[in-house]
Amino acid sequence: MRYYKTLLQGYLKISIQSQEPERFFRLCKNYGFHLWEIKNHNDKYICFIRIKDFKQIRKICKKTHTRVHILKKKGIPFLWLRSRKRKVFLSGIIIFAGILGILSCFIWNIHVEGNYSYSTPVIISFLEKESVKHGISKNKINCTEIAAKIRQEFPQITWVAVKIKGTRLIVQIEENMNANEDEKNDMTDNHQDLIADKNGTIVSIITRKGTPLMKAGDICKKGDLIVSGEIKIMNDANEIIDYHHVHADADVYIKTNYYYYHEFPLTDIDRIYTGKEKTRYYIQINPLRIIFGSAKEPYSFYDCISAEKQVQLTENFYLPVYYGHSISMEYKESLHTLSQKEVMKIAESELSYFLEKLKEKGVQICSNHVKINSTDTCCIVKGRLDVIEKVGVWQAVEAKKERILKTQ
Amino acid sequence: MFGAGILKKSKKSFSDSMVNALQIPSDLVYKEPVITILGTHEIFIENYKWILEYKNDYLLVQLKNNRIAVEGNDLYISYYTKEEMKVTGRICQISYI
Repeated sequence: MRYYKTLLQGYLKISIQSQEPERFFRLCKNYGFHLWEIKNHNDKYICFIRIKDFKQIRKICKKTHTRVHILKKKGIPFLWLRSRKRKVFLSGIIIFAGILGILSCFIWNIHVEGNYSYSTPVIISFLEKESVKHGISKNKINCTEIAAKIRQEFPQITWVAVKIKGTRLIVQIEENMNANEDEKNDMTDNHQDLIADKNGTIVSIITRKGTPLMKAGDICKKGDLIVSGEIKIMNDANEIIDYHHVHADADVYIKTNYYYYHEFPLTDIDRIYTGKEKTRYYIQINPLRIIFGSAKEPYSFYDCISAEKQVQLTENFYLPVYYGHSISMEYKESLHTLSQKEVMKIAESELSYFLEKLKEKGVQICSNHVKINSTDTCCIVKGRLDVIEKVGVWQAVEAKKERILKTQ
Repeated sequence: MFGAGILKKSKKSFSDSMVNALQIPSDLVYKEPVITILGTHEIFIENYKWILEYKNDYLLVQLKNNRIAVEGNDLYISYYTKEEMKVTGRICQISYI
């Protein structure tokens, strides 16, 4: 620190030639002039002295008949004098330091860590809504307030720490990973009924909790109550003495129908790629797009494949600048009439895709009445599918009571 | 004269006893010189009076009651202030004169 202070003030390397050098040193000490790195070379003494002390040693020099020569000038004041000719260079350094100083007063990176169920863009967009953006002044940020808002907005987040480190805003999050299970447990305690969400005939019903109001073979319509969450508690005389409310739970399977319809033309347009392609690079600064190369579309029929990247300044700070390339591939169209085999193949593959989707949902297919009919211009695949599927949605009892009151 | 001598003597003994009782280091009270030597290349002299002689191979410093002579090669004074000085070089001999 002392060295930097001396450098800032400026110092000199001097050579002293005196008849009484010891007296010179003693007087310097008494007047408080600081000398350092004193070396003896024959009858000369070489040492360092500060500028402000050097200006005052003249009187001592006279007293002790000392001759002083300046050997070197060091420090900022001399550098400044020497750089007077290079004003632009020097002002550039100063401006650079100034800009660096100003820019360090803002937040340039928002870093989120510890998040699992809430993605970083979700949290960043929430912060942006709360006017905590990239480039915001550090003074405007209240870390405790931000942490409280995040906790309020996202219920699964149990702990938040927001801190500023340099020009980074670090948001540390701890999530409650068992929140879903807790919710499920809460659900079981609520009083809820199980109602049908589709029309059909009940095939089987296995009740775990609640009172079943329908049995296998019954026809249910959408909105019918299947299992009630209300359990009547009877006494020995078969009189109702109390009601016990539970979250109704049952596996209810019904037999129902699905109607399938798919129509497609017998003629198909084929794209035959000629092999000619053209790659063009571009930069897009919203809404201006600069294309390197010719801006004209090269072909009359072409497919275009683009790969685009957004410029990001820091981890989550994206600029509205994009760059990328697009490949235009020329093709020729040719009309092609489908053969009977091809028609069957397309129809079957579409149907099997539909059935696969149903199976993924847990639907069991009993019978398939889908037929393929070809006309002159198109092929129609239609029919009925008999399926067995699980039904039942929960309805809160409060809603049910409201409904009853309305009907009354 | 005689009386004054006794008074002076008793004053000194009183200050001595005070210093001993309060356990104050004597270099702070009497400005006794403190000399610290680091190996054979550095010597710190505190509470010195002034430099009497300085050459490349010889340094003579006035202390409160006596003088200290440092002999060696390539001796140079790193710094000196009103309180202390630091001498660096190859030290061969230190003697009180």
